[in-house]
Amino acid sequence: MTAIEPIDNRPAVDLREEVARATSFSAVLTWLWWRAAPWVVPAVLVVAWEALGRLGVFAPNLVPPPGAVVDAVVKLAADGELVEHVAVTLGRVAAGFVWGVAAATVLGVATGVSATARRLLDPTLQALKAVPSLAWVPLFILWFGIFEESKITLIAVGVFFPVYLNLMIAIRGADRKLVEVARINGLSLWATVRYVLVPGTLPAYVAGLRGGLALGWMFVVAAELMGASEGLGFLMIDGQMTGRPAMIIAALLLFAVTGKLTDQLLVTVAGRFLVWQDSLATSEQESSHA
Amino acid sequence: MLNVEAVSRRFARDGGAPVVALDRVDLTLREHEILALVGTSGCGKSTLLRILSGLDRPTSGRVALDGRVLSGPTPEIGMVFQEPRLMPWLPVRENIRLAVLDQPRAIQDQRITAALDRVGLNDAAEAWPKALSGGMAQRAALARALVRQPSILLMDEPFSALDSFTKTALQDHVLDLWGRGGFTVVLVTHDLEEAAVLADRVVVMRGDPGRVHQVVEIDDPRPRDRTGAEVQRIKRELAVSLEG
Repeated sequence: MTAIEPIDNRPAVDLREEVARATSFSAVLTWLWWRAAPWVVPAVLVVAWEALGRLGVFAPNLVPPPGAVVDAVVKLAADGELVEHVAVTLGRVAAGFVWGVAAATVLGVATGVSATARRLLDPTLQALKAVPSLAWVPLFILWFGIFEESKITLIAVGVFFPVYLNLMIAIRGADRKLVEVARINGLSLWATVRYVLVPGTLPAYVAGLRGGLALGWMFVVAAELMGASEGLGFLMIDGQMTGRPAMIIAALLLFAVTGKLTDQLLVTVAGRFLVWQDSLATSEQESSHA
Repeated sequence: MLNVEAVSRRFARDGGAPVVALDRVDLTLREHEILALVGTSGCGKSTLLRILSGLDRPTSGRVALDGRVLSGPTPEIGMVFQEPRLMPWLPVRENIRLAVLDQPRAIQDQRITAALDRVGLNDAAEAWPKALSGGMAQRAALARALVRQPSILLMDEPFSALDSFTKTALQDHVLDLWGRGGFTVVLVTHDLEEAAVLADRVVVMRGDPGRVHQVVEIDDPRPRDRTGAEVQRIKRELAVSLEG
């Protein structure tokens, strides 16, 4: 550990420069180790999993070896089913996300800007937030049926709260000092919104969007476990019903990968608007090693 | 010019008598002077400056600019705050543009370039605020105030967050701009040497309630020697006035 500690706190960009300049073999080794470090634990786990499987420690019908999981993914891909299931789930998350974000943005702006709207709406919304979201399922199924509408509504509810709360709090916490700069320079309300309030709330809004997206992925699982004929959640249920644990684990991994990719997409798009920030780009670069 | 006529400002306090931040303050600015407002914290000097800027309103009394009662911020009165208060999401040039959004685009660009030139920030025009040093950021804030071509420039402890070298350099810079600019400066400070070096008049305020205690005229010709006998003498006089 002591060998890498001096480099530990520096951003990755510095590391690359360092490598370009490095002439000594040990510097290259240190860099390689730093790059590889996040993969060490997963690699060890996979090897241990495979080894224990072969030694007969796990019952193969309950804990399939990694190879079987890869086979399951390959087979799904070959049938064209993989793309279909991923696309269906992705579509549900996207639809729920759009609806949830739209509602959260309208209400978050209203309660953030207007004390009356906040007094009127926020207590109710906070009360609704206290309802465990899965508790909505029976009602939504009753209202919207067992097909897409109830699933998308459930996902939208999950997406709504983090976006709403972040946006409202960010607008309420807008920097009074910067608003004074707008006042002293005679900015119109529209210009104040455009140049001061919107950019000022954007980082918190993006954080809300990421939180909302994460909940969207959580809720799509719930929605698809509840009853679906396609999608990654359906694959899991199907795997359970037909006793194919490799399928369940494959779906699990696909959830992880698609979830991470959509989050990365969000961060990349948002990052273009947040280049002025000191922190986001660097912290994302750090976490993207994981 | 700017007239302060019997201006009082009271702030409500929960469950107690209101705080009298300013109590019947009278003051008349002169053309092209540097006026320093000094006093211990809570003497009302910053409150007075905020009222002059139009950001705050007097509870009673009035502030008149060339005979018209001041009812809010106006382009004729510029303000530099203690912190630069730049929008972190706008490059320096766009931060300065905020102050001239009401002008046609061509005029904006022309004035921004001139303002950047005056504060010596041409090379940093496209920089993000996060990349600026404290002194550069404050100069950008100065450019933003000057780009509106105000006849009065209000400065609320603008040098207090800077290291001493940067502070002296920026003070000289402001003095130079003032010498060429034809505008009046009102400077709030708690640094008596700063007041003694920069000001034509120093208004000594005392708090609770906030009142003008004394007005000290300084005739020492510029440029003044910071370590010279006259500056030191004025410093002592101000110190006595503040505490005596």
